[in-house]
Amino acid sequence: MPNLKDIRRRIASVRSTQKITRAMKMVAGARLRRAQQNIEQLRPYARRTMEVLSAIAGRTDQTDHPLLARREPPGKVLLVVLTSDRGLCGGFNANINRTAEREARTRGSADCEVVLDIIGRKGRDYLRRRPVKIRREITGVFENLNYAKAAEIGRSIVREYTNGRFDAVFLVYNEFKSVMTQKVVVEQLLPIKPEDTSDDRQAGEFIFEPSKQALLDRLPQMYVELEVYRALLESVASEFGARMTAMDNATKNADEMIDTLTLQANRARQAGITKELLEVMAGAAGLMK
Amino acid sequence: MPLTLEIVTPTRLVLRKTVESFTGPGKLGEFGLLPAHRPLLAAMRSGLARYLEEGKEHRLAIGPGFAQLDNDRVIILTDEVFEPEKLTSPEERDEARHAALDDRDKADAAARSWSGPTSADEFEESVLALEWARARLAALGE
Repeated sequence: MPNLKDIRRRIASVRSTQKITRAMKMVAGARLRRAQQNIEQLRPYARRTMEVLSAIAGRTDQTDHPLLARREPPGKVLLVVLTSDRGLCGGFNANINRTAEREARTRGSADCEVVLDIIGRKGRDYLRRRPVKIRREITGVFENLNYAKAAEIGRSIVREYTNGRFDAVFLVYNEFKSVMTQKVVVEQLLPIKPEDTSDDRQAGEFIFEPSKQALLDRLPQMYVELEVYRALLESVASEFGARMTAMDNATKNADEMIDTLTLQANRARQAGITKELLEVMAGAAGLMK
Repeated sequence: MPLTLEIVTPTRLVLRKTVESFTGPGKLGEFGLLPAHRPLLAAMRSGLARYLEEGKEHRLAIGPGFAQLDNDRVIILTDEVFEPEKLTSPEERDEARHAALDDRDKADAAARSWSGPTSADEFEESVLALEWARARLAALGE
């Protein structure tokens, strides 16, 4: 039987941990609301950008365009892995890291080299110790995340892709489904895969203004920047969702632990009282003789 | 069959309405769209956009972006939108007008003091800012 003092000390320690988890849950919840709003507002724009891009891509010889043409088979693949800078968010980073590692292994071969761009401290810390090739580590994007930061990353990827440094680029990130669920997705960023528009082609050729080429110079590039931004926002919202859920569980577990420990403490206290009583009675009986 | 008009920015779906016509600022000049128009994909500059809804004309300023028309559905992708109709009080309109005037003068001065090709990007930026300020003024009916 552990002694009463030890149990009381443990209760106090669990209580203070619980205070922290509860506070973290509240903070994550507040920030989640903003992040969720951001991603949900961006999605309609992203979807329509894809639609517009598909309309023009479907009427173009895609083998000509640097960002649309497929290069088969790819000799060098870039995986852009989106993790978070902070931990304490359940399986959020572990899921991403595991998927990234698996993707790197299955896509890699003697003819195909896979390299990783890692966004977020947590991915960096894990993947550095794994047998994967890391090209670039980006940390700190999540503080004051804005479109300009995402566009910068997007532009650098496009630049290297156009230079032929890579034949395919994939994004690995957590897609925000709901507060409770995030889904790890591996999405092809480059070459851009336009949606199939062949069945909704209507009579009458498209008018392109100022010209098809001018539009093709700008739209695909913009789409890549936007996709990077969208993936970042998805990831941020997922991170807060995951953290909120994890911290909620931790708070509940702490509650349970406090209950069990309190029970133990009461037992220990009662045992102590009983023992003392027995001693007093034994003593009294001794005097009576 | 009327037109469906959708205006989206990265931060929100601005509007989705059934309209009779739409007029917007294309890179090559203003264009108007009526139902049964040929499919169109156009690059847009900052400027005044107008649409007719139940016989009533609505005005708003839109930033640079793209417009697509296909199957009587108009999609406007743009960076920013300014809707004077959302400003209810005269004070708000006044404030918006002054802000736009200030921006215009600032951008105009910046563009004029342009100092050669080394700052070409800055020049571009002030021109964009100038166009955006003018678009807002036009939407306010100046």
